[in-house]
Amino acid sequence: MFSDDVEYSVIGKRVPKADAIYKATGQAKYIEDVFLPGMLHGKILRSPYPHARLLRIDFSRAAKVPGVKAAITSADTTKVKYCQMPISPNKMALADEKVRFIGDEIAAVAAIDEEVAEEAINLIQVEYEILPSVFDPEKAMEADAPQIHADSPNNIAAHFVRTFGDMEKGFREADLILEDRFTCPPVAPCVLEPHGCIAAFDVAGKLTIWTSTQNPYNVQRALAIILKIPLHHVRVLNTTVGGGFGNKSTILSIEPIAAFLSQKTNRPVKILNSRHEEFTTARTRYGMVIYLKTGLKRDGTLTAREAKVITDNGAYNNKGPGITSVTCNRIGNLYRVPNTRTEAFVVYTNNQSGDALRGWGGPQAHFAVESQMDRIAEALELDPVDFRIRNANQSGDVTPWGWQITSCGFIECLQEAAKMVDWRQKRKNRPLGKGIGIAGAIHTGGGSTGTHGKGNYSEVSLKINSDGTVHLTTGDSEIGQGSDTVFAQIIAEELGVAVEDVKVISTDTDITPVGMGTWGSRVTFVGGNAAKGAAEMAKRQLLEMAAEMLEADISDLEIKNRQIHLKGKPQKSLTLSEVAHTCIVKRGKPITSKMTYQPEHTQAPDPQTAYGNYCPAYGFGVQIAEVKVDLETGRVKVERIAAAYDVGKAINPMLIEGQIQGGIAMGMGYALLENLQVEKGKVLNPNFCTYKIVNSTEIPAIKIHLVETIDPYGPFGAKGIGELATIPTAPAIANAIYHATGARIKDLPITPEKILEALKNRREGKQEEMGSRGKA
Amino acid sequence: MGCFEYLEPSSISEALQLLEIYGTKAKLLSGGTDLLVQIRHNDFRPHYLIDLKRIDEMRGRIIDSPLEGMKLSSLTAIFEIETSTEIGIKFPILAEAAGTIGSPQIRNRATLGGNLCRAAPSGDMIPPLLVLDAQVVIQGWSGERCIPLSDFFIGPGKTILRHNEILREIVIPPPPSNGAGIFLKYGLRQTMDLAIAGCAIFLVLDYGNKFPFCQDARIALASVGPTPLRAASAEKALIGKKMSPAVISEVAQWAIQDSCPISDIYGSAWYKRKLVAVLVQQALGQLIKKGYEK
Amino acid sequence: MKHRITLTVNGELQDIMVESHQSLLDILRNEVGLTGTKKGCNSGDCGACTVLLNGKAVNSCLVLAAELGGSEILTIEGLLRGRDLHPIQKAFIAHGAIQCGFCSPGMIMAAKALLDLFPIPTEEQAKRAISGNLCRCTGYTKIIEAIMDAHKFGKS
Repeated sequence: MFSDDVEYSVIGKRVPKADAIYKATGQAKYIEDVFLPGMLHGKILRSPYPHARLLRIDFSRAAKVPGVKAAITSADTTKVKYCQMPISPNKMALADEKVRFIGDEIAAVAAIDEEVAEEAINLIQVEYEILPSVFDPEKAMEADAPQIHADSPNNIAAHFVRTFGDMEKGFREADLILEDRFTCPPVAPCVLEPHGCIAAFDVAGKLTIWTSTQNPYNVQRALAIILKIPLHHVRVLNTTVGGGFGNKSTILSIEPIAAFLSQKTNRPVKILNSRHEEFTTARTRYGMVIYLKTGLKRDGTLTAREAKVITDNGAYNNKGPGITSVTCNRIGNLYRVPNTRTEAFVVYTNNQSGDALRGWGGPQAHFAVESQMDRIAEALELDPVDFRIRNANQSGDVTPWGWQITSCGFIECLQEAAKMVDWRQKRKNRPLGKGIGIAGAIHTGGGSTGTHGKGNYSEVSLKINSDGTVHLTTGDSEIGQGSDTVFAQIIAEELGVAVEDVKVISTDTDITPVGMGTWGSRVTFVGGNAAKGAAEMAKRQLLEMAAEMLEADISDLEIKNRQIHLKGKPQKSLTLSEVAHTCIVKRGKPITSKMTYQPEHTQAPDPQTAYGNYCPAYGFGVQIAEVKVDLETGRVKVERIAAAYDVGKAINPMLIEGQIQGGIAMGMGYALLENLQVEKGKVLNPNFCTYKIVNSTEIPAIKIHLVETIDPYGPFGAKGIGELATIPTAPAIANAIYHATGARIKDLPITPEKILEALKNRREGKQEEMGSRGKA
Repeated sequence: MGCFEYLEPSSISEALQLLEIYGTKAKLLSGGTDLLVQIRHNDFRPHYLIDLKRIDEMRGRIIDSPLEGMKLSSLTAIFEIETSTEIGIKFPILAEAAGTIGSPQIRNRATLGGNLCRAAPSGDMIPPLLVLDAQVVIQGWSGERCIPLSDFFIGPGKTILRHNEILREIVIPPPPSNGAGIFLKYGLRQTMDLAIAGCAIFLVLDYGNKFPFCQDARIALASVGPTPLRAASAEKALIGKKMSPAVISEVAQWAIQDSCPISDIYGSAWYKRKLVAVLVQQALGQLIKKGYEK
Repeated sequence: MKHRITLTVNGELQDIMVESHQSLLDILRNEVGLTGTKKGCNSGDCGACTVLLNGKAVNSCLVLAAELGGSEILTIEGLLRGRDLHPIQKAFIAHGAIQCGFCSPGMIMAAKALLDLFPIPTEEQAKRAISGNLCRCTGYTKIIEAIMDAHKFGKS
């Protein structure tokens, strides 16, 4: 059905990751592995109260500890408020007058080692005036709730309404209307490598910072703003990133704090988060409440969909409004719905802030939409797969939100996934306690323009060496997903060299081109297009040289297997190394190229309505989960998962499988286990013992099918997949649990206890709090 | 981590001497898999850690004698219990429980004595030892005392061990020849998890009739009280009865009565009580089945 | 008080002074200079610091250095023979079992402990051997495959 009919030499091959050898041998250097001469260690005093005024901070005892070199409060800083997103910034590196969550940064110490710093931190005395606090975003909007930021009445950080179509008409035309309330808890990123950094100011006031980041240029810009120094005085060196998932796409407070401590001491200062700090302060996937109402015709056509989304923004602005906006547009865009309205409230609470975490609001939206889609299918007595196919997006669609769906294999994914598991058979004949459920997903396959429309570019520069090998520098970060390898494959394919002939450098803002970094499943698409373009330019230079050497026309030349030869006459050939050497060494003409790629076919969302095609491609994925539920204990065992994904073109199927398998594991955690339990602002499970993520013995058998739709704009037709990999898992499992037991759980995670409670309520005939209502 | 001094006595008497000198400022160290974490979390701030692992008299040997049952040094590593052939044959319930603890890395270090002295309500080795009627040998300056394990625990993290005493060994009496035991643990993950509820049952059954006749029953529960506990009324409801489905479900209800769970991050008291009934029923059912298969 | 201990790390005798509270992980990383062993949680829950102590997998964060006199330690660095990778390392690379790589050294050492006993393990054995090693990237599937397949990459 889809095919590109092209024989590639490295595209589509299972090429092992370039950095795997360093990681397998323990030679990869993560931030904790970097040590500098004279380096000090920083520790942070954090608030024990969720909301309090700071009355007095006394360093006198801490300063006397031998080995302490500096101690700072906000008075020692610039007091600049920072936020990566273009929304009102309100977070200082160190709290000024008030602390707003348990873990908020108050003061910091630099000392000769971690233990001395820790000891000193414990000796800092702080007087607090404890203020009333609020932790539930719906309660925080009430009139008498404590005010967390003076400039935000009712604690509302952002409020927006997006309407496309005619809601009144849409619901009027509906034969049936369903309403549900879904809740998604805050979950912890659980990157295996805790956040860390080393800041080193030199005598001329220039800062070098080593950090584990997805986005070195974000870190550079943030530190220049916070420290009030010019950009060329901030050099960011990215160490090997031990897991990111969006959670390392912007700074925490540790980077500026380390920089202020270094400024004060004239020595490098290292700060490493403890695992406890990771769980309590390094930000979560945003917790949300989603009210979802859908109207539909008896034949299964959707007529209107309305949602109210309430996001726990935590104590400070970070990405709450942006991510909530994505939640809203996923609700409107996965299926063909002519009339949609979403209203969002992003609300401050005295919890830690949220952040990006694999899916940017998508996992929350899809849990709601895909759970409700199954409820609708049941109400209409339709098969969930047929019902989805009926309403699925198709290639060529322009959604009411203005998204131009170019390549789209959603229907194929639904069909293929169903075929892989023998859906119809299993759906019909299931013993009690066993169930099978499906969910689909849409996500950007290549980042997004951002509000101003031009925030999705990648730049690379490429250099051919005189032996025909290649260097590529890029501003996009390898964070384990394999971008360096994908870039090497793209370049190797274009230039006819081997993958191992290409070295990719993605680590240093003094050297590497400006890039947006790694987020939004964008790097394969946007960075890949830049790499491909740069390789094409370099290829042209090589071919020109070869044409001259072979006295042939450029159009008659072919580049392959490290050679350039006349088409159809392989005997008349030159090695790439001969050509490069002649060009660079003998002729004195270095072969370099630079390419900036910014998708031309995207536009900024309209500032009023949010209408616009702001993603250059859309990826689609479907997962089917088979579960077994112990009806006595409520425990769920996920037995099998089948995944079908529209990836455009699989540049490296092995890496894509890895993304999907990893996404499934994370999604299983979201579905069944993960919940950062917070009581009065205090995290009750701040460690891997009590905050459970999926481990090896929980992993089901996973089958994967890749649909290649060859996106018209993607490099070799490829689209991004990183986030999409995890999005359908939770609703697929929720739907399978319903199929197995009749328990419809709308509140993540679906714990055994919730299942038993739901079954008990069903037995006792208790009504659901919100249900469906038919119309005459 | 807190600034403690590491001490390495080479004999029990030296260790006792150190305990005498340092009193409550000292903590005994065996596997350390819990203790070091507790120290890092500031649950304890001992000034001295007295490592028992260099004491030859206490080394993790398994002493087995047919008449006396089995004596296990408190330093016996969990993985030894998990993999020992003797234990596997004689007290399979112990090996089963050992295999459910933590990860391989933890089982390689953690010790039986450590699991008991940690006195966690969820302590996995405790219910099986309770139903085996194990005793503990406690060594003090003035001699040793031997007490039933059921008297050892007094609260979460608390035992009757005085600050100058050492848990030296665990004595398990010979099991009745026609007895059989089982350990069931319920956690959210299949491995690497603490018990939300745990249950060990040891029965002596007579398989004559349609339903086996219960000559003796010992039932212990974990994670549903301040300490792991023997479910006395459930036992009473079972001993001397034919094990019909009705009796089994009645016993499960009595076990709920014997438990006193609290609501916490792992689950509500309501849910844990449900689990008690389920585990007890499942355990009894599986034991009967096992017996018939023999 | 400092303790003087002599132990073997990756076949080399080390004579070092350690503080009472220092863990094996700390001395490997800070004193011996072997940073391949990772600190993921410092409480024995994640397995990133797994090394072999006298042939057995342990969380090095939960072992006090002071008690290690006379012990033999094998870390991820000890698997290399010159530039030759150990079969498990080769299997991990070839199977795509490595993404961010932070869990990989501990994962590989836990696998080594298993494969020393069972060179061709079952899936169940492979899963259980790494049940205490958390990974957030790969979903474990390719790691399990690599462990089961390691015997094809040469003799351990």
